[in-house]
Amino acid sequence: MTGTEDLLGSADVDPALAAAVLEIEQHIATGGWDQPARLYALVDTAEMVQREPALAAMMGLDSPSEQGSLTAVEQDQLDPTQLLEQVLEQIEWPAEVAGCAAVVERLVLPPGSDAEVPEDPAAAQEFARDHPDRQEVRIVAGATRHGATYCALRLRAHDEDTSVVGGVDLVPGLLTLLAATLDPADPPESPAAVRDTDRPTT
Amino acid sequence: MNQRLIAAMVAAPLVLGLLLSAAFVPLPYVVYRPGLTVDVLGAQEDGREIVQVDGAESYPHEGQLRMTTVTVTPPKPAKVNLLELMTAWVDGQDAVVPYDNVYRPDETQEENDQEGAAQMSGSQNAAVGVALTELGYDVRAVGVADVEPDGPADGVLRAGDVVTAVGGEPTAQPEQLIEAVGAATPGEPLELSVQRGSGDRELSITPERTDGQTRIGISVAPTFTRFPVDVQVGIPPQISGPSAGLIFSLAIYDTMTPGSLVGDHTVAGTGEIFDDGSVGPIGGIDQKIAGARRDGADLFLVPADNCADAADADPGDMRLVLATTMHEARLAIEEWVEDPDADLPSCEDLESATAGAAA
Repeated sequence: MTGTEDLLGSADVDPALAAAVLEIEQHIATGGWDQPARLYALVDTAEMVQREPALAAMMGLDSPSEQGSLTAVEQDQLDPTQLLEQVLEQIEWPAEVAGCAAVVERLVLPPGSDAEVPEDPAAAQEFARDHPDRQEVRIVAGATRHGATYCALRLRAHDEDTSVVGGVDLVPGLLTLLAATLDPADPPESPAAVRDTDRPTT
Repeated sequence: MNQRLIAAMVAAPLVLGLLLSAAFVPLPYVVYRPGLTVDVLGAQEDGREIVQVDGAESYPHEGQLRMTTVTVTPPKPAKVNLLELMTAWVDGQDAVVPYDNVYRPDETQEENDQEGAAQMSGSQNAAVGVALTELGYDVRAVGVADVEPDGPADGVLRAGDVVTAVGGEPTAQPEQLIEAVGAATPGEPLELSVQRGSGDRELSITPERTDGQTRIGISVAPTFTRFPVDVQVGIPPQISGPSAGLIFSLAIYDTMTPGSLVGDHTVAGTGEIFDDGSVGPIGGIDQKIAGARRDGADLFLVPADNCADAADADPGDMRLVLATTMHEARLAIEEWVEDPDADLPSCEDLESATAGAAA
């Protein structure tokens, strides 16, 4: 497909979330590969302007064109010894956060090789690293409290902006984990998670 | 060096070493890839011509008329995995399409096969009718789509009947039937010539006047009479769907006319054919163009409603020609064989027509 600006599943896309995810993707892409995982809070831009007027003005976020958009706020560097997926299981966001996004680089294998992947996780990783047809993919995945999801994926072997694949459901596992950090209906086990907030239920 | 930094250094190789958990989770997409193309003027596996004509002269021909196909990820349980999807996305020829655009949620392979086979057989019937019409046979007629309960035709006509004449006047098109009925005298019996199954019958219906219109209470659609010539198109059963209709009609026409329609060239194309000879859009135009180019086609016929998608394709030296009807497509091919540089209908004509209308 040549005109790759048209992204997958455009009917269900939340434009604000998609824009935020693609913005993060572009930003990360300028830093190249072999980067650690990152986590972002997505904040309603209008709320941010209200809360931090000076900062927002400096970043140009108070312009009318930013109406309805989400601003990504990078979180402190994650503990590199911990898997992003494990980190996500322990996170719950404060009510001001409208959504979140994560960036992670992973290996993917072609279809058909799943039968050969060892069950033991460590052996599976080794198998993936040694697989001749493995591909490196950078995933930027985001979710909002309203239940929207979006992700943008880039293959290292096709490292061009026009080859970025976007869609609402390309990495279901990761998106579920991200959504769970926002979803009051599915609180993490920690009792601290149960809080009285005005989060909309979905 | 503190502990934390050591941990970071140890962990660094892990950044890239991790297999995406659930990388094999099937995603709700299907991939279109260029499929095989078949020269419909050529021979079947058993050596017989693909187009078999019984009851009329058929003629030898040169050149090739290739129908084009797309290979599509089959329905459940197999959907694509992430890497397959991404590889297809970055590939210039493959397309990634949401699963729901292609299959119903509960559709099985078997249902899909049956539907495809029915569409293939319907497309062949339409192609034969359109080709015979183009050859001058009077095979067009009016099909009864539905009969109004308690209307004048209730109990006389049935859905599926083929009306060939009303009051002795041939009805080749629905408008002719509607006109003939409208001009009839309410209360006076009207004679209809009808083909039903293998029999012919003369039926009498008394029109009535309702809402200022003389009616017999049926809804109609273009169709064909029983064909005076038996034409068979022998396509391998694994190829299904309606999208080869246009190419079938051209191949039948070529087989039943002296000389060669395509000269010694290779013409490929796609498009559903309707009973009135118009060409309808199909899926996977980019992949079909790529397949035709791979198999050496010099000219490719594009249905009008696929022009926007075809604009993305890379036809190379292959000429893309707009096909609105089988008749227009035939004329364009003849003109092109005569003069390869001839000005032929193209998708750009549509764009300039739209631009002109907007101006």
